[in-house]
Amino acid sequence: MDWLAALWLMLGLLLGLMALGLPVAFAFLGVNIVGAFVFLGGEAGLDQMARNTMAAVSNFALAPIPLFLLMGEILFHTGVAFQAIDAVDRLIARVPGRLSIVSVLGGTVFSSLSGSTIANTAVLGSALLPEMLRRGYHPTLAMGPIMATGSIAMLIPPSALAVLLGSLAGISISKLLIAGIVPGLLMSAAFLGYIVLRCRLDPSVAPPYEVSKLSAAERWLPFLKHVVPLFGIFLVVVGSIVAGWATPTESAALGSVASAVAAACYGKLDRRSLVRALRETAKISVMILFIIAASVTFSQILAFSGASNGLLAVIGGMGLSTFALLLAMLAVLLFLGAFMDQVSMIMITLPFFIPLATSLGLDPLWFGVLMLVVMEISFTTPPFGLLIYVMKGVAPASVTLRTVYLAALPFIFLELAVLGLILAWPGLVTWLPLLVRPQ
Amino acid sequence: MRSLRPGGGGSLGGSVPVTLRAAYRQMLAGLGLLAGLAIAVLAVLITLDVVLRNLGVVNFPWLLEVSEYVVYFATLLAAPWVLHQGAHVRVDLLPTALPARWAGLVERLADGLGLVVSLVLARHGGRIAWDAYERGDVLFKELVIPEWPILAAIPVAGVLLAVEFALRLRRAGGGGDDASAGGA
Repeated sequence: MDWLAALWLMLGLLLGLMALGLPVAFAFLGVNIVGAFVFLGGEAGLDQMARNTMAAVSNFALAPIPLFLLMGEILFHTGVAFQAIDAVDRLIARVPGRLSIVSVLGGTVFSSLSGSTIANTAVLGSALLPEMLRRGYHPTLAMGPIMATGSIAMLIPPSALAVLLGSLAGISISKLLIAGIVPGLLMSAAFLGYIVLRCRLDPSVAPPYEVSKLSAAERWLPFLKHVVPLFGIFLVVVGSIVAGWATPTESAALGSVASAVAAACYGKLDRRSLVRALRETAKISVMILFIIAASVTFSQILAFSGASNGLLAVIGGMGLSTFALLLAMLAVLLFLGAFMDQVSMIMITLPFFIPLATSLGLDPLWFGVLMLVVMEISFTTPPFGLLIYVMKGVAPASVTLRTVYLAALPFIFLELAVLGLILAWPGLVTWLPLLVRPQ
Repeated sequence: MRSLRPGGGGSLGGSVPVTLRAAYRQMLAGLGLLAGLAIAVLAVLITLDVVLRNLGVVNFPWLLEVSEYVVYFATLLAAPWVLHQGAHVRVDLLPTALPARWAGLVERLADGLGLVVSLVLARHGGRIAWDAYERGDVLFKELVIPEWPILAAIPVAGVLLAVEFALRLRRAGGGGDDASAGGA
């Protein structure tokens, strides 16, 4: 079978199985069974595929994924995240779009403590959305900032997806984690700017209301008590990586334990919330890691059948500029992101993108961050952005899916603008990781 | 899309004894909780290692390898519980776009394919585990352990996943339902 037929067989079958609604891990297993039988030597190929499931996930580099998720789930289920957002809420005075600003600031704080975009969006949605809608906020200003800020959790460390991308693409996980900070903060700043501008131009989108008069102590003490100590967790995670004291796995473990200690210090760590946090951590971790276990053979088959090299040779022969090829790769990711989850996007594209990026001489760290930013955007791209559905799940039943789509749109454009900035000035993401000391 | 099939947490069919249903659900729930607990214990052990190592007291050189096995076992053995919970991410483009009758058929086709895929994984996982047992293969890293118990997780997971897909097919075919299901 020539490489083009192999490529069609593998990709076509995969997309077909996914479209049927088979969970993506099993869609990968299904296509790998066919591919292993055809290209890897029949029964022996199937044995190899089974063996690969062990090799794929018994990998120390993947261990931060469940540990970063555990951090966020502990803070979410014990209620520590909610009291931090409440403290941020008290701090913000009477400004246009006040609650939207609280959601961006609170979400950015929680992003630095959680590796889970779902937990981040769920925290913000359940803490702030009912109040926003009650006060007559336009859906764009109510749900848009929550979804957009929720997705920042995968850029600002701790980030489970950065770990996954780094380990599979052979990019330094420590540096990739640190490199996500600046784009994450840039996005927060862009969201804040948009909210303020939109509310100044049309105050009816976020009707102003009288904020109860609080003394300076009433405003600042909750912040000092419920938010500032949590920065200690962020410092433990990021500081230990930057200083070269800990590997990403070790920093994730330190962060998880620090989160549990923080929850215990606030008197919020009970057995029930801990069990819920552990179950949710296991559920999301296994969902991600099982896709890795199931799909690792996919790239081997693409390589062995000649499909990867065949496609790369065709692309190389087109004579496109490096920048055009880079834009094409990002466009492919954006397109896939509208229809599938981030782990599947990584597993389908990496076999092609990493060799291509290497042959083009792209800085792997820069390219990794660009991929992460596009995947972050795809969390909210219609029709199937995951956070759109998380938002719909926490919103009142009267909110339609179309309303949620429209709410996400302005923020998608802002995220694309940040992507453009990073494309134009790679130094935005590459300077901070230079501070990381090797372990 | 990508979600989380609501109510995926299912039940055994009506003709299956109640005690067996309960035991099955508890076993899956136990595997899920065990995976979470294993991750938590890992966090504590790694933290201890970092602290004690930096204090110059002691370090656990075996911990890296144990971490790998914990992540591996948690992933494979809790995967059936995640499927039972309807939490394996999926792209349900077609089922949601089709009329209910056709959507039901597509769901059954997907469950049938999932069953076949799981059985193939179980068969070949079983083969490589058995071969490793017969050959007496040993994993030589920091720890020296026989390979077959590690590989045996693959057929166990494959069989449990196949059971879960079979139960989904049975429910879709009108084999009974249980409103209390999915509480794992």
